[in-house]
Amino acid sequence: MIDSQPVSFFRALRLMGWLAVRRQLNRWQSLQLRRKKADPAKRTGTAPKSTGRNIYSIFLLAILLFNGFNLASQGLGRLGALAHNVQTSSDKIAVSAYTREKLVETETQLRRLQELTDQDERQKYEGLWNRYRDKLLENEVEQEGLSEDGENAKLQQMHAAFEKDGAKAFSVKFGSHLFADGETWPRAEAPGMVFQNTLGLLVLLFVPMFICLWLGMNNKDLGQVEWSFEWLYGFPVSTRALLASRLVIYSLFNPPVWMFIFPFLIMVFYTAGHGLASVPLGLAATLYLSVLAGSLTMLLEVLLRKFLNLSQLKNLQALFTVTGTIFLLLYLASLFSQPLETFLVGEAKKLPDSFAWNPLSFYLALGGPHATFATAMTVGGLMVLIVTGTAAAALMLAEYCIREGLLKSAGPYQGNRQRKVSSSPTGWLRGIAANEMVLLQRDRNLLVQVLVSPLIVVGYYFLVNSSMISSATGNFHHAATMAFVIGSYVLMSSAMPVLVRENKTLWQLMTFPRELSSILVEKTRVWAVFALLYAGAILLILAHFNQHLHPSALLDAFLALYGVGLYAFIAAGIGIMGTNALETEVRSRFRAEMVYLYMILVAMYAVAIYTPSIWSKFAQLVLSTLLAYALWQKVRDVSPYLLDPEEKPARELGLADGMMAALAFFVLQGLFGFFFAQHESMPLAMQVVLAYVLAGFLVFVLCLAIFASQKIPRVWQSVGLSRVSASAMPVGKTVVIGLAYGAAAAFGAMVYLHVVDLVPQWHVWKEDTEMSALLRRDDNPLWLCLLAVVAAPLFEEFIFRGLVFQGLRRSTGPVWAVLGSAALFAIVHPPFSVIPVFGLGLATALSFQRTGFLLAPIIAHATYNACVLFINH
Amino acid sequence: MQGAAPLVEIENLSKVYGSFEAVKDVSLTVSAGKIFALLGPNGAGKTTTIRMLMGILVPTSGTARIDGLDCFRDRVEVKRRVGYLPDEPVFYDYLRGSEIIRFSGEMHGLDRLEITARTESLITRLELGDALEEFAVNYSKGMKKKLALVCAMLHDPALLILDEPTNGLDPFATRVLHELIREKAAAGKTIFFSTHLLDQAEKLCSQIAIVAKGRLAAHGTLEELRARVSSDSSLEEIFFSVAGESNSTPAP
Repeated sequence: MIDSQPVSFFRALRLMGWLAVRRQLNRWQSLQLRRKKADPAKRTGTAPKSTGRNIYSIFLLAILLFNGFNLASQGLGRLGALAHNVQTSSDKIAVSAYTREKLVETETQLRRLQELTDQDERQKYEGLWNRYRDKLLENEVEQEGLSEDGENAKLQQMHAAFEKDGAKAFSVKFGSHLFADGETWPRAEAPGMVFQNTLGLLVLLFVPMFICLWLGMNNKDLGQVEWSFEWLYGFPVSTRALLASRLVIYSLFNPPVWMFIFPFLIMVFYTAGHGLASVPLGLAATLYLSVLAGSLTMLLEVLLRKFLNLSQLKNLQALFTVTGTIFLLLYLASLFSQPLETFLVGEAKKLPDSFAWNPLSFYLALGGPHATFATAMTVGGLMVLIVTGTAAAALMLAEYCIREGLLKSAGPYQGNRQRKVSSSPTGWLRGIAANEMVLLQRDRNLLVQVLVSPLIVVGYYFLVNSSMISSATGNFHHAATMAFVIGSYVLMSSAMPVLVRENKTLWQLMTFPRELSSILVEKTRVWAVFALLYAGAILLILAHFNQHLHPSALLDAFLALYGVGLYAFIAAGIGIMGTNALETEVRSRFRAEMVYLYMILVAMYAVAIYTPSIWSKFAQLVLSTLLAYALWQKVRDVSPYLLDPEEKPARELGLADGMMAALAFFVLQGLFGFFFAQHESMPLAMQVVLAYVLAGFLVFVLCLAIFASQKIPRVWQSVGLSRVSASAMPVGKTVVIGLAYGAAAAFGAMVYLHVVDLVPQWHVWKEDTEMSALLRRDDNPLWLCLLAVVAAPLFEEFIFRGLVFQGLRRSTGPVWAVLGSAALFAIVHPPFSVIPVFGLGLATALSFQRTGFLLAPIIAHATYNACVLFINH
Repeated sequence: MQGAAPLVEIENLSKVYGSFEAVKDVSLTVSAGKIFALLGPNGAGKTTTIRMLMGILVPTSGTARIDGLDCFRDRVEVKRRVGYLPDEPVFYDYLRGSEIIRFSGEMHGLDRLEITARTESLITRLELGDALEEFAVNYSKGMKKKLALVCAMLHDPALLILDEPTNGLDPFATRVLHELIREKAAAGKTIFFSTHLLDQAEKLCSQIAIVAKGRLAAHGTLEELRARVSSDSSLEEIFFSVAGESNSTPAP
């Protein structure tokens, strides 16, 4: 009656394993899907397979593997050196590896020279070698940066030591091994065991690390059996096959293992001198560890689901994530951090030799000082035995546990009477804010990522670079920068995924009588406040430890806190623009490059906090604020169309266009200036003005060409190049208004110059600037002056008033548009002229606001330039 | 149609994805206080039309208006008047049913007391009470539909847009839903729902539109539709004849 064959254990295993591989490959490939709309006729979100993507993936994998090797190599080199040193007393003098090598050579040569019979020759060569040795020691001492007396004292000490003990008086300095090689594993008996035990200690981390990471992070929700498991459970395969397939998957499909641990173990055996054989040895060791870890993971997963209920599981999952991450970072740190490595080696020294035989690290004996063929056989045999034993035991135990069902408490709600929970966890918060905070409390993974991960990362850096603590508590610039960076890190996992989290639930937000962008703004605001509190707390703690606080500390604190609040919006803006709202597979919803963009922006702002220059701080403040504004203008344009795969918002000029034009102007100016500077025949004034004008002209032409090709409606009017309508202000009146505002700005500049002349330091500052030098020369040709006065304003006004001001004006009132465009205009000018140029910016923007025609600000600007030029003659 | 201006006006509505026409030149009107059914086979464009009414999708051409307001441009105002029940509601992780109801109400501008007052009887009728303290993601399909229905009716909207409302509901809940629909209509609210259950449409509505392959195949009251085929056909026969014609027409 039943036609099909029963499926054997191994066949089932093979099929399910292959399924897992196929799924994982598909998932990696779909991560690279870019476009919002796939081929519309098919309306699918699946990326087609392509060789281009495969090559890219392979390349990426190769880089990651190389990284693993690199790290392992450096770490092992250092540990080996430490192990060498730890056996001997600490009164050896530390020198670099190169120096020590050469000292050994020197000693050998000098000893050989003793056998020469010819006195003269001997003296000559001895002298040579002695001078060589002196040079070595001098080079070594110079690098330490001691005072003159200190240097001499050290040199004397080194000489005395060499006389007494030769090269043995010197040991290799920590950190000076760049690469481990076949000689790194200490050969001598005792240090060899120390090294092996050090590695043994380190390797103890691996198995718990895998288990914690897998249980914590790879399971979407530990409490719910994966639907795939339930689905597979419905096939006529034995439970044992099902569990075995999971064991295989956990053991073999574990990218962190293959990226970090596999190279490490290969390097361990390579440094013991096994050459090419270290690859199969490393493979064997990695497989051993991963199968052990895989069996234990599978068993634990089954046990936990059997004996714990949903909320306990959730808490445990978060704990696993934290512990796993800490282990991973500890492992990585131990390859870099001196205090940690010294600690490891110190502890290893205290351990008895029998420690080397513990089941998690005994295979290291293959590299150790006692390694023989017999050892290899024993070790190999033991490995196979332990692995098969553990796997089988885990399988049987798991099978026994689930013989009565998969879960303790079940999935879909079945209608049991529940206790009424009276209070809400958010109390006075309403609406969106309440929602986000409830989510934070209940989603343990999010909680860990947002609250704990920043601290772990900071802790890691402290561990690796111990001077960070002193710098953070000694210098408030550092403290403020650190508070800002930590705040931004918090935002990366809370504000940036604000749209990613709305996977499939976006429909509900769209049923409310509120613009989606306004809902997103409110969500961002919640996270901004949250991050501000976090950063504020850190700032207070660090301020407590800082002894000497300047008034400038207040400025730094303000900048840091303002930055955290602002960057909440930048993070969310970037996140929203980088999220594909139609994609439901979580990992392909978000473009990972956006994270890098965000990190670059954070770094730029952090530099601004750190630098003492007030002008830079102000410039960065203005730029960041305008950037945030431009981003959200785009978000507001795009958000009604988020769920539509086909339609896009109509292209309108915005602040982003203005900022990109200003950036292009700045860059082109620099490029032309550099280019002209190569022509030394050209006078400086001509170079500057020509660079200026050409850059402006190019930007002008390019912008108009681009806007025309994008078919922006009424582009000439919106930019101000033609009047809005025939009945608008007559040209004559426009010109008069322009002249008036220009004169006012020039007057302001004159006042400024007079005030500056009054204060001696400022007067010197003014005289120092290049522009003054240029302006005061009498031999500037007339045409050049005309160019500066007339042509430059034309293009500058187009960019800053036509684009930036109008872009701002589209979404905000005239006041902010005027201030914003004037501020941007001011910061692209040299520091000395910031204030009068800001005044000019205000004047031109106001004249544009009044007339709506670019002629007015152009005339105003030209008037200003003419006046300034005239004054300086 | 009575003298009152139609509540829902759809004129030449089209939605095109590349070369695929999901909805093509659909025009219909619904007057206030009526129950309107949108019938059609799978893939006919019912959900697409509804999403255009909700402003989730942007029409390629044509207009959709609710109470004189354009569904996309004035979507915020439209949402005040509309309650929406999607075909497969998905809710936030980690939120209980009661919290989702509260959130919905607050987003529509109601305070907690009002929310409790309005939803109490509805929850009892739908037998949701016990489930509300459970996380919504753990609900069965029918429970999610019921929860979404409560959220849709919470702010007492003038128009209820329901996408396959009884899909997933057990017979008890289905009967309650039918009662609710009739009560709302009697109170002057308008109901617009899509379905492919012909007997449900036949029982409940006053006006019917049949779509197939994105095009409107027939539109009018049951009597008007009968006039097209024969005087005593059931809706089922009308549907097969009308939609069958469209279904056999090759796509352009």
